[in-house]
Amino acid sequence: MKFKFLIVALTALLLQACGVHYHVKNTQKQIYPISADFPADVTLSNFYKPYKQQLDSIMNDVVAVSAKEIQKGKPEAPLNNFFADAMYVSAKVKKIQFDFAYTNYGGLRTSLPKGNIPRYKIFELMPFENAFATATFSGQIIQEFFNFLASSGGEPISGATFTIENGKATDVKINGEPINLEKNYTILTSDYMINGGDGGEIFTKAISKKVYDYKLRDGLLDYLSTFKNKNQILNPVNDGRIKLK
Amino acid sequence: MEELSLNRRGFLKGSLSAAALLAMGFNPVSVFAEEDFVKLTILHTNDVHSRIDPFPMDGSRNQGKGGVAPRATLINNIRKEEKNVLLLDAGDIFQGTPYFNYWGGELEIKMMSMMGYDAAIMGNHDFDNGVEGFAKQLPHAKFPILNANYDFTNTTLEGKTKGYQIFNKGGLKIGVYGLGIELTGLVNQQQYGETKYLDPIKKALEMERFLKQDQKCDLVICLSHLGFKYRENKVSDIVLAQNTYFTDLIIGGHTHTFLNTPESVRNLLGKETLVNQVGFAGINLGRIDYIFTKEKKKKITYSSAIEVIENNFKI
Repeated sequence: MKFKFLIVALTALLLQACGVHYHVKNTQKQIYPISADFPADVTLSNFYKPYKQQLDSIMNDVVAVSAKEIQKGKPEAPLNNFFADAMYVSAKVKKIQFDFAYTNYGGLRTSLPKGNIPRYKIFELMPFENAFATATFSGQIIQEFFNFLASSGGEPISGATFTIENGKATDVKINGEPINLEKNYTILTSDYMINGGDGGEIFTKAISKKVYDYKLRDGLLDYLSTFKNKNQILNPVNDGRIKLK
Repeated sequence: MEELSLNRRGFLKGSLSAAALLAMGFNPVSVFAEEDFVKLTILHTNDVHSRIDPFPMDGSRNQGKGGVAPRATLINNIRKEEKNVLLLDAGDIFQGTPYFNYWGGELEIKMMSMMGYDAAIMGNHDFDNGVEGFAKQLPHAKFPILNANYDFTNTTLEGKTKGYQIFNKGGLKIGVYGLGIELTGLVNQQQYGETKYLDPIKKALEMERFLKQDQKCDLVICLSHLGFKYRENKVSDIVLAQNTYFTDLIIGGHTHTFLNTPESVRNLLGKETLVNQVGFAGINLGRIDYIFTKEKKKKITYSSAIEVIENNFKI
């Protein structure tokens, strides 16, 4: 019966030629991994070669040497700690007033390789033109701020420690001291965060904010140059600044 | 007529395992009369993030992967084999390597034009140099920027992007529309300025209805930078697929999700919507091939008849 229907349907199809409509019959999906082993398209590689040469001449100098590949992770990780510590140290050198440093985990854009770290790696780690900024909160709000850091499972910080318990921050210490509700605290971060980037609505509760004419990337490079000048190998570690309970 | 019918039976039998035909390097010209089938090849990238060179050989996880020049070779090779190719990008073209810091995305856009991209959308990082920074690079784009749910009125991008584009390939009509992610909380206002974010689901329903019902597109594709899916209750490609009627394929970005095969989602009509995303940095090029059969426009019901018969003929 169905076969007969088929014949009828097909005959009808064959007899009517105009006004074609298409119907999806089948789909197939494929992924092509792309690698440098694949022959490069000459038109494109020739096109961008002059730009590449220009970058290579300014981006390949070694800015630091690392003992290991430095990766990000939660609740803390060597890359998180390196980044936040670099912010802390470089901002102190620039006499910026603050209590502790924080940057958003999503802003760490790549890991750093073991051995020589070329300048372009710092551009890839921190590609954004974000500037240092500070935000001051009352002691009442600061616990809420640490809960914000705990809610995502841990964020890069320097100059503070806490424990994540049921998604909330406990045992918060700022420069070794528990939170004093009567005191105001100033957080060092980026202009991106104080303007509410990456879910930072909490920054609308700040008493005051300030943006500095100093890029985060330059802060990282300044911090690394102190290692290089002292012939020190970069080796950031986990030190328990954020614990999980 | 009898002989013709028998031939047609053979054709239908053969078409039962169209997937197998595809796997064998299906060629409509040699196997069947050309007008019976049309093959459409969709190639796509997302979150390339200014990755022009392959990742350097420094021992890191992605070393040697990606790169525009190898990608261009691959795309050119596929174009030699396939007649109907659409090349699409789901946003975050900008930001991630010094190429962007020094030339503001000019190289990225110029090389996408050279590779023959058919359309792209704006991701959140495409606002990193402000609306003006993106507008500045637009003259280098030989392809449209599709963003149906960003209202650029009173910005330098006003009138320079489109909500959708219809492509005609091998007699097929393919409607592509674009959706961007909510900018507040992700991009600073000084970057997005007066750009207004409109509800993506509402916009999708409007777009797909227009493309499918008014424009009679054979395939409706959404280029999305909403993100694959989220734990919290937030609009994503999966949510979009579940809440639309006529969107056949969602090519996504933002979450840098590596999918080995597209996710199959039931839409509001109970039909399959595919959601795909291929990581980031141009490490992968996604490819989806659709095979279309021709039917009479007036009698759309014939398509379901053919579906039923196919099931009966299943070997």
